[in-house]
Amino acid sequence: MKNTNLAARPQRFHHHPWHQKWHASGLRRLFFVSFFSVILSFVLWGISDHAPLGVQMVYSLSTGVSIWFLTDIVRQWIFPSDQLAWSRSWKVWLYIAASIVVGFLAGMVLGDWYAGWSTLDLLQFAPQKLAALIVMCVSISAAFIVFFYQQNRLQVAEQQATESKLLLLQSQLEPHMLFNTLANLRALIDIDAVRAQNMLDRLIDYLRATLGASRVISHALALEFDRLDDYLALMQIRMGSRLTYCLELPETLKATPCPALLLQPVVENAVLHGLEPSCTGGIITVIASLKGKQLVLTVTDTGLGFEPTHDRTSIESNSGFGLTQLRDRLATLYGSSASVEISALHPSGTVVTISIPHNPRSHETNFCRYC
Amino acid sequence: MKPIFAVIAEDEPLLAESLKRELMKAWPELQIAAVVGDGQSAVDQALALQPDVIFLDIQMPVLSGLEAASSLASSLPASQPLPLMVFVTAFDHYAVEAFDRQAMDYLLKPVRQERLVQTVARLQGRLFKRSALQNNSQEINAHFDQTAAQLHKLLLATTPKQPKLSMIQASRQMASGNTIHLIPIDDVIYFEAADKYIRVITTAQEYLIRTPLKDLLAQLDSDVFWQIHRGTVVRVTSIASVQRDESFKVSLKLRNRSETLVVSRLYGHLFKAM
Repeated sequence: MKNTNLAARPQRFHHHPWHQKWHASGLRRLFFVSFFSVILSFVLWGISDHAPLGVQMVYSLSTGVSIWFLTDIVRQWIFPSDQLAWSRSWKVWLYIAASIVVGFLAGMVLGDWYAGWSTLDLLQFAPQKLAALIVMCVSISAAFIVFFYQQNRLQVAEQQATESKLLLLQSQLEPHMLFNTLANLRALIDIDAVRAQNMLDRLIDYLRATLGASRVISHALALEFDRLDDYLALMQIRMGSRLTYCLELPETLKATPCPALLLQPVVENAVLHGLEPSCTGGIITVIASLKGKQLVLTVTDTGLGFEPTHDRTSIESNSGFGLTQLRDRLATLYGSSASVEISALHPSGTVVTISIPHNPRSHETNFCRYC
Repeated sequence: MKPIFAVIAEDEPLLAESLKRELMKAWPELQIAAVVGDGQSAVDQALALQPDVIFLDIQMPVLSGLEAASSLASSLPASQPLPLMVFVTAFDHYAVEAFDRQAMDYLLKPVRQERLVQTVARLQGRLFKRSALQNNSQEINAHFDQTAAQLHKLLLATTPKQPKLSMIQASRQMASGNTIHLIPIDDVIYFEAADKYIRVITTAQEYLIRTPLKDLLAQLDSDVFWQIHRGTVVRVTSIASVQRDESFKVSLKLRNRSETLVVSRLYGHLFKAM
């Protein structure tokens, strides 16, 4: 039942053409690498006595550019799914290590050809110098790669936070949702004006979450729960006794940072596919708790649930469910230390469990660096 | 004067309450017999209470307003007039402009008093005409067919577009073993639901498939295959003749098949214009 509903929903979000933006930043990285190579050749030229500046430049530029080419352009061809966030695959790391070796050798061959001598001769009369060169090349490359990865991870995280916001905006402005909410508010004015005013305030806060100017990657868990409360209170006005909800956030976790609007699509899904199609409705419970060093967020609904015949992948593969988007986002932010699980509740309903590393530091807001 | 009864089907309690209040202002003589929150209860209450008017929200759990309306129309005894139907919707993705307001009316949420007054006037006119004709069976049938044709059009318009079938994978009845037969859709004369199965009938053979009729319909070209009964879908070009008896019952004779197919009242309108 649930699954057919999912299939009927229009696809809510198209996957980003990462590569488009990525090519531009790939060129930016090439510029960084070349610039640093030139500086490095000046330094090496200054401290060494026998190699002219031109030779140093050919060595460092050809080494730098070949490593850039292998780790940036070629890697994208070999591992198209690796989105330059922290990679979880050892194959990618092995490939990067190999790229540094190959890049070093390529730089050596080109440099030797230009200078007319052989670096390998160093093995005989100054092996410590060759070792120093290798150590230098490996550590500089590693530093660059770590730096670029970090930078990109942040960029992807910002992109995904914006995507979450857009997703919410899309569901807020979905005509059926918007007009029904407004029709309910209009009816409430007649019946209970004070309650209507209170609901209007909630609608305003709920809309401000997407239409406001703030572009944060994460915010305090208390704020996340406030937005859920707004949404659920509005839905409760509409659904009446069919929707009961309970939000449990311990005092000690209120300031804990949480990716902005992380739970919103999960709760929305529980309402739209769990409770709305059911005559009797159900109960939605959102609980935040600590389990060791992990912050565990569970969203439970006692609605229709998914049919056991539909296997898990068919539910998860449906982009309307927003679970793929949620997974991508957690992977970018926390790598393998975060997880999402979806399971059936007995006798009917669904439980979504999200586990992310708990950051006991008080809340810090990460603002987007590009605005 | 005989009191006029209405049923409201709306899954959002505040909106149901509000519609009730507005109706009481616009039409004080109207008596709200029941307010229900889902499509199935709407059908049950309409059959039990025999209201004159029914207000149906389109998006409701279990059965949508449109599905509830067709289910009501097909379960109603022929002697009983079909209630006048008014659909209520928050958004016109149901192509409200497709509504022929002669057959049934629609209201957009939030419902405005001045728009409701127009609807009420139209309903009153129709009910007056009906009582003046003393429930004349011709008038009742004409209204039924008009409504059925409208529902048919709306349901077709709201069925999600799916790729059309060109081959059907079916098994043979009573066959031992697991042979799957591939039948070109062009060979099929009609489909008939039987228990959990659908019988697929070609000129010479009969096969079985397990797809629900609703899912099958979405994959058939609605110009080539017509639903003529709750459980029967027939190829239009295989129909040889249409017969109508004194009690307005319609049946079909087929080319290349000897049996006669019964057309239910809900689909009788399909054969009016011919």
